[in-house]
Amino acid sequence: MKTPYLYFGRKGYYAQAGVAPTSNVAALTAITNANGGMLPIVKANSVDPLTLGYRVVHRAVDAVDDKRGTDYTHDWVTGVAFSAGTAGGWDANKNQDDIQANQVTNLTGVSAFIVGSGDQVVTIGDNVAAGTAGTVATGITMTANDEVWVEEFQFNAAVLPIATIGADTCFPATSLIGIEPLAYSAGNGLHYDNTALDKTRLIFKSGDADRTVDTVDIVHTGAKFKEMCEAMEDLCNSNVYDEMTKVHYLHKHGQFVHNAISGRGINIYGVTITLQNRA
Amino acid sequence: MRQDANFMYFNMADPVASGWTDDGNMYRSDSLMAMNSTAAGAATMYFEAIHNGHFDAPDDIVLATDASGDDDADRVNRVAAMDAMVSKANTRNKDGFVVAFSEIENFKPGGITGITVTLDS
Repeated sequence: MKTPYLYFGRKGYYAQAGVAPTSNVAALTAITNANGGMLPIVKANSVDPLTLGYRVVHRAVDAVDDKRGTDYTHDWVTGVAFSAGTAGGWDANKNQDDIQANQVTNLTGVSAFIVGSGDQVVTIGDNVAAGTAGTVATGITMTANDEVWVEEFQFNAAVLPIATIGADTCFPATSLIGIEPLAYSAGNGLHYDNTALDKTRLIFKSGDADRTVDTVDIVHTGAKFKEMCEAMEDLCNSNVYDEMTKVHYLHKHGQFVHNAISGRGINIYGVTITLQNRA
Repeated sequence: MRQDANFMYFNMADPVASGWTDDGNMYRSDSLMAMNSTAAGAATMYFEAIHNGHFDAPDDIVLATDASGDDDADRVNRVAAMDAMVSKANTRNKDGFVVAFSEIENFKPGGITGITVTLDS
């Protein structure tokens, strides 16, 4: 019996709300394959974030003055200048370094954050000249209510795994047992552009032969579970037999999403692959 | 009932030199349960174990690929190897099995440079 084979590549996506700074830095919870689908490797103060294939994004909940590094001048989502004031749609006429609610900052300053060796802890520096990360130019001082996203967007060896278990997987379509919706509440269930998110789990008969299951968890545009099921039904009944059907993966220039999914108005933000008992 | 079955044939070495132990196998293509990357220059195929009737672990065939380029080139090569095995798994040859990889005959699709067969024991 011929069957299509479905290929998935991993995409890291981690969100956390409520990170209080201590000692001039704010350390996120350690990122794991389970909570973020990625393992960022060590990053020193001197490593340019633009070389990493992932971004660290801050979204303000509270308005506080003088807490944003001078490197950051425009909102990452809207492109509006932080100094635009009420004319730009902000709540008040403020300076560029004054943070207002809902302003989004992509932390691209070289020393904006560090990542510990082997612990996957992203530590964001305050906008002060002290602490292990951040400077007056590159740091940002958060409140306990603010939110942070760590989002992988390119295939890059700065985020593991890239070639080992959990990096990718391929199953015959006949192994797809079922699909279930999962709750997604990290980062208050929102992307940094305020898009609502949901999570869907694809359940496959395991490649381990131990009568267990392997799973592919997909964080995607909210309220699209039915459309995800439709897309998978389409892919499983395709007539592509001479190569794998690539459902999702990252490459060195960005992200690939099969048009059976993207064509249904679904963006994919994270893909976590869990394979049982693989050696 | 007529079977529309396909069999995938593999060998990884000269049988005279190796005595065939772990070096060659044939599987029904529908016993290919999964594939994934396992290292730079390596992707692994997992088949239902054929020899011992166990259901606790698969037989593995590791596909070796060229990892001499950058990380993304390595990824592309691994994907090409898995693509080639999907094509073989979906090929019908009613006059005989489908050769998926043969060291002896130097038949190496998808840029696969070699294979390593490990049987569940």
